[in-house]
Amino acid sequence: MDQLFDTLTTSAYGMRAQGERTRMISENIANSNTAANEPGQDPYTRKVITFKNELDRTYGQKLVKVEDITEDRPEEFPLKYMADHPGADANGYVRMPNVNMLIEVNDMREAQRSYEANLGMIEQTRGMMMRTIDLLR
Amino acid sequence: MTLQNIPLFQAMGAKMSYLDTKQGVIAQNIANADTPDYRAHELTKVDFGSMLREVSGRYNVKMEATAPGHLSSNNDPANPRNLKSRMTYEVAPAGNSVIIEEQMVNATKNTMDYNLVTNLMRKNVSMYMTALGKQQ
Repeated sequence: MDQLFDTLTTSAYGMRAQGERTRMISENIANSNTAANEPGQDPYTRKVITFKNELDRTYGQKLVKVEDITEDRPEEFPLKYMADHPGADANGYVRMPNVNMLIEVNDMREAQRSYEANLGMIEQTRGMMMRTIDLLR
Repeated sequence: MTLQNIPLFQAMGAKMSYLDTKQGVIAQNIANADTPDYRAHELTKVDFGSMLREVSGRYNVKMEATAPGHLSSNNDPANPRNLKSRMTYEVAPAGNSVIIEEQMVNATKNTMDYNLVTNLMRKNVSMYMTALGKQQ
């Protein structure tokens, strides 16, 4: 039974990591039109998340943690012609964020699947625990 | 005398504890489905059949281990080892070899095995109950 509790912790941390990823993706999507406000300025830069599996001393087991959220800096930001925008350069082009909706939505779908898989694991483990407790009846 | 001293229950307890550990390994794999360079793990198989033959043999005499330093009897199951699995469906470009579908199948198998053992245990207990004259 002890190991089943550890299983629950592992899955819960997996869900937490995926939750953090979902939050970051929503940030990317929400900022998909956050252009530069001044000609020389950078627009919003897309963020990427990386995970790692490390030993947690409180639980004494390996858990998934968010390693880092870094900026995905492109060599060139996409340009959009908006001459009356405050961030437009001399030719009327504004630097736009490098957020690609398709990529973000698919990333979101992947995070959702992983989240569901962890949830499924918790449900199965819970079922096993209930079965064990039912032996007492 | 407790249930733990009945060899069959001992064997089933060992199997349950093995399945417990296995469930933990699978959860670890699924939680790390998106961790770069993580390789899926699996537990080595334990031969519970030979263990069962051992405990259900008619003339099964063994030494009792009464202190932690004593050699264990051959009734104890071998400790399964947690290894990186070599055979996985594929490895992602990021070096991750966890396939969620594969792991979910493993988890379902594991749960079914567990249910089997708990049902067997329940049946055996009800058999003892009947023998004791208590109708269940």
